[in-house]
Amino acid sequence: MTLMADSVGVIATPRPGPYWAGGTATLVLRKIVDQSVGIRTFTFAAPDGSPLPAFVAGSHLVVRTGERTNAYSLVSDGTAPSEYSISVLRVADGNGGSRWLHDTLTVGGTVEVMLPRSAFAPVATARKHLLVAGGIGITPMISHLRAARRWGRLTEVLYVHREANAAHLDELAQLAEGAPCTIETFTGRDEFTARLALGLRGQPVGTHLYVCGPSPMIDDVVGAAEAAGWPRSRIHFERFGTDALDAGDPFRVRLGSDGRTLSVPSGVSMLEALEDGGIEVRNLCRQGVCGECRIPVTGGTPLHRDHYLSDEEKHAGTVIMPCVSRADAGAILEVPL
Amino acid sequence: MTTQLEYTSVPAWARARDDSDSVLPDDGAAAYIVAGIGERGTELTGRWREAIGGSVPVTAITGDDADSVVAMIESAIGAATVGVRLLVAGPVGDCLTVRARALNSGLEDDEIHVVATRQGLIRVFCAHCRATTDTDAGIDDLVPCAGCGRDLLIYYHVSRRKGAYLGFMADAETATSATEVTT
Repeated sequence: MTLMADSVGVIATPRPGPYWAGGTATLVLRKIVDQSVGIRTFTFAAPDGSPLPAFVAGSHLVVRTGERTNAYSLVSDGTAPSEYSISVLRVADGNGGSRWLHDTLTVGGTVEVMLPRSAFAPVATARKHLLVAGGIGITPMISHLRAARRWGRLTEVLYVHREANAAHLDELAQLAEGAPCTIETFTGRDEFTARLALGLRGQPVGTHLYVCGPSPMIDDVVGAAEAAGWPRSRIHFERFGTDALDAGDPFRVRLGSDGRTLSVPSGVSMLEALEDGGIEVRNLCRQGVCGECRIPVTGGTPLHRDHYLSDEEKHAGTVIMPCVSRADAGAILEVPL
Repeated sequence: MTTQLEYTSVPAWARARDDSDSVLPDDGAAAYIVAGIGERGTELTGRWREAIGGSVPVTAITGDDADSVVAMIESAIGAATVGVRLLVAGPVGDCLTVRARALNSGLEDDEIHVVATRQGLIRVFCAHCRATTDTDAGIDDLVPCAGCGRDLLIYYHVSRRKGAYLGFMADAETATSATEVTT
């Protein structure tokens, strides 16, 4: 590895310190900034202020929030960072992660985080980037815009939010200033839908579309793009939070190791059933987002309900995220565990 | 040696060369660029244009070989917006050239649909002198390089960027005369 030195001879970006053992580290909360009603930006740093590992725009940070482990989009600059910032909407009836960050954690407190993970990166070969954000879905777009500004990428942003829940508006304006970037914000759904329909037609060949927001909004935007003739390769989206999943039908899992068959009742996840059966599966978010619990499937047809696997992977049916995904009523899945 | 075609970068359409199924390959587009090369290619694209009908804009381009159509295709792509599809019919080598230029113009794989009508001339890129040789030979055949004269084995790799097959000196390690030829 070659160490890079800047003009005054100071070595920049040394390897991350030993506190990243196993891909996790304990960081200190340095700052809380209120964005709007219910949205706060939390900024973390290493206890000794040393540099943090760089990350690709659109990456998320997996944070242990009290009892839960949740993933949040990074909004800070991924190039030679010394801080990681996430913006979090307080969800009163969520799994408790956002409440813990908002209500319990205070400046100077510590959290356990994992190395940033990239699942929503800008396409390097794109001629133009069309970023469409709904509500708190603006967060990954902030880091996209930082990278776009750095690389002079042609960018267009459509951001729809509730009047009271705007986040990062000042930052958006700063990031667009003097850059090949236009930003339009909407507080009305109809106005946004009309503008989106127009925006999806007339984009130069080579444009890629990125969508982040509530699931129904993502479905609407992806549907509108497909109706306008956009191919799948140009459409990228990131779902956050999780929609309440139904309890699912009971099914069974046959273990490749000892031939045992475990029952997965309705309301119990396949991951929980495996754990109850003494099978350890590495896992983090337990909500189909982080990708940690991915396991192979050697028989049966999985009923995929995660936000992690690609369409191709889901179609192939050879892997499953057991934290949320299941099988049809009475079916048997075989796993080599 | 058997050619491990399951690992090849030669596109399936270039291996199949089956143009019997000439229904419209993609009917979800907002506009089409339809390019026919040679007699059979032109015939197929005519059928596609009929299938598309009059409600969607179509730019039709025809020619005898890739060189006679690529400039027009590039300018049509440059004037197009996302939602466009490029449909190409013609000999394998010409189609590979058109695909390469279309990719370079910013199209993605799922925006390009190719039906190969016959083999025709293919282009072989020499790994030694970097010249390109046009030939009617196929994969695993030998062809003398138009640049350096080496006997090139036509390998089952096609460059997406160039649209040419990779060729390399067939007996580079075993020929007694190998030491005489250096790059």
